[in-house]
Formats: sequence, structure tokens, C-alpha cells
Amino acid sequence: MKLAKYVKFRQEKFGGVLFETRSEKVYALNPTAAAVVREIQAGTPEAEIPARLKATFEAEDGEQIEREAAAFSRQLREQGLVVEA
Amino acid sequence: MTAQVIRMAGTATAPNQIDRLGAPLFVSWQLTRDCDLACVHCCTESAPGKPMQAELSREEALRLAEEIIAEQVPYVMLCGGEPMVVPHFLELAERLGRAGVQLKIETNGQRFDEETARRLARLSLRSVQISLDADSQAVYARQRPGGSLAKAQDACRAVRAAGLPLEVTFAPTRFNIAELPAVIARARTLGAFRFNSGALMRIGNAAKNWHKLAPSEEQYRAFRATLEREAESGEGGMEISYTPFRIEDGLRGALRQPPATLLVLPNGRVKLAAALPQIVADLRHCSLADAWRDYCRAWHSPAFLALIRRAIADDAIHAKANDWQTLASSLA
Repeated sequence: MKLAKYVKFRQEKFGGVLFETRSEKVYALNPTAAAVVREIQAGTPEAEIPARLKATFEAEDGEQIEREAAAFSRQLREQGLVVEA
Repeated sequence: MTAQVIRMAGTATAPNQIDRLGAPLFVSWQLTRDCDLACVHCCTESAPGKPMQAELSREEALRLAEEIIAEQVPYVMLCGGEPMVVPHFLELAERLGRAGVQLKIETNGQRFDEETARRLARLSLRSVQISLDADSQAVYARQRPGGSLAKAQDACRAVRAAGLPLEVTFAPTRFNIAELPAVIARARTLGAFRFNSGALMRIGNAAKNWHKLAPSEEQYRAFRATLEREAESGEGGMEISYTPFRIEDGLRGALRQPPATLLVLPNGRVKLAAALPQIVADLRHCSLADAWRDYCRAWHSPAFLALIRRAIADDAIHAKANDWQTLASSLA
């Protein structure tokens, strides 16, 4: 999984922004969503992202992180913001 | 996890989302006022051999490009005037594009050749936008005296041959409005992914020639009906984009949610809105980060917001959009 061709990510104090330049739509991301995008940019395999997040945010509920990361990845795919690498 | 759409200039829920951003998301950069054409409707009053006084030098422009890269601005439009008359245009585009900035190039296509397209195709190019204001040379030349429609269409072909995304733009006047359906069909044939239009902006030459150029309300009704019909058809996969239709509509949207955009003039000054003359910063004397802070602050100024409301109420005010004044002096 990688960011689609016309999608740019920028980290912000509140998390980050994803900018789809073809449609000129901007998506504001909270810190955990921004962390997912950073992992995608770093080339982390999708299955490994929840574990990375769990470590980063010292989360106790691993299952919840996994569910949320999967849902967010699905949302990114549906919006055309990511494509398969 | 949330991903909230905050759109460039539209329908976000919280006021002034731009205050949360560390830098602009979009820089619209007029490289020059010089142009190889003198279009009767030109919003920047560009003409051959008439650059603005004290335009940014190559060195100053490259320095601004470095700031844009450092601030991680994701998207930049290079326009003019005609950007391709600027000797360092490609150098700038290559500096920005190689750093990963997504670029949109806005050109009249008169000197856009295959070699230029090939060089741009090596960069992260979002699109090349070419003005096709007619489908017959006679009408094209009336609106763009001295211009060649064949060259503009060849430029579109060069864009597509290099594998670059093509956008076509159409500025309606009394001269060309009847050719809209033919130009839309042409844009599809040329492989454009988007066709941009809207009402003629009452700025610059268009304002000076307003009574000769401005389409009638009846013409606009037919024009808009054609755009709606073509947009609905979705034919050829080409998007038809025509909202906000009038510049006042765009200003209303900006009042609800100011755009995360800096409009940079050829001399490095930063405008608050295309339809208004207020200048908020001078990039010759301040950093891009400072200009962004001043821009965000200006959108909290009740006096500036009142100026926008006046411009929404009276489109004749747009005619003064090129008579720049600093925000401080215009509020004094």
C-alpha cells in the first residue's frame, strides 16, 4: 500500500493533512491517523501497522488499534487516497 | 481515527481551519505579468513586453522556491501573465517538481512544445492547464488578439503525448460563448481530464471592456445549462468544473472557510483574495512562514471581512483588484 499519485501528506501539530491535489480535497487527520499514513509512507506492510501504532502510542487495547487501523485503511482505499504498492 | 474533509475553500464545519495549518497547502504564483498575448478579458492585464515593475529576479524566485519546499507546501500553480515567457520558468518548475511539490502549469499554449512537455513529464506534475477560449480561429483571435488556436491545440496534444494530465479552461465572453459546446467536444477529443469554466471575472481587462464582453443573463442561462448537461453526461470521463460559478460565490465560500492558499504576485507581494486589491505581505522582505501567519491573521480582521462582503454585494468593486494596497492602508 502506498499513497496515490496525486496525494500528499504533511505533518501538522494536530496530526496531519492528506491533500488530494486532483480534486483539491484536504483531509485533516488526528495523530493516530497521521501515524498510519506515516507508516504507509515508510513502506510498512499493512499487517504490521497496528503493532507499530501500539508501540508508538503505548496502547493497551491492541485489538481496538487493529480494528481502527483496518477501518482507516479501508477508508483510504475507498477514497482513492492509497493504492497497492 | 478521523479524516475530516476540510476542502480548499468551501464547506468545512469549524471556523478558520487554516489557523491550524503550519503553512499554506497551495501557492498560486504569478511568475510575471508579461505575456505573448494581450487578451481582451485578461484578469491580470498582461500584454507583450509589459512585465510588472520589480518582478522577482531568478535568484529571488529560486529562493522562494526553496522556502516553498522547506515549508512542505504540497501544491503550487505556476501562472502569469504567461509563465513560459519567464527565462527561469523551467528551472523553477524543475526545482519544485524534483522536490516532490505537485505542480500545475497554467499557460496559453502559444510556446508550449513537445520538448517542454517531455521535461515537465519528469516531474511530479499535477496538470497543465491550457486556455481554449474558442473552437474557431476567428473567435479565438478576437478574444486573444495575435493568438493561434492551432498552437494552443497543438500544446494540448503535446501535453497528452508526454503522458501529462491536461486541463482545459474556457473564459466566456459575448464573443465566444456560443462556441462552448464545440470547445467541450474538442477538449474531450484532446484528452482533457477536466474542463474548467464559470462566469467571466470582472477584473483587469475584462473590467475595462465589461460592457463589450460580459455575456447577457440569457446567454449565461444557456451557458450554464450546457455545462450542467455536459457534466451530467460524464462523457469521455472528462469532469466539467464550473463551481463556484461567479467570483462572488467563491468569496462567500472563503468567508465560511478561508482558503489555505497564498496568491503570490510577480513582485513577491501576497494578495488576500484574487478579487480584492489587499496585499498582506511582501516575500522580498519577509519569509513565507511570516506571510502565512499574516494571511491567517487577516482573515480574522472584521474590517477585511467587511471588504469581502462589499465585494460580494457589488461586483464593480472587483475592477479595482489590480490596484493593490496594503491591508493596513486600506483599513485606515
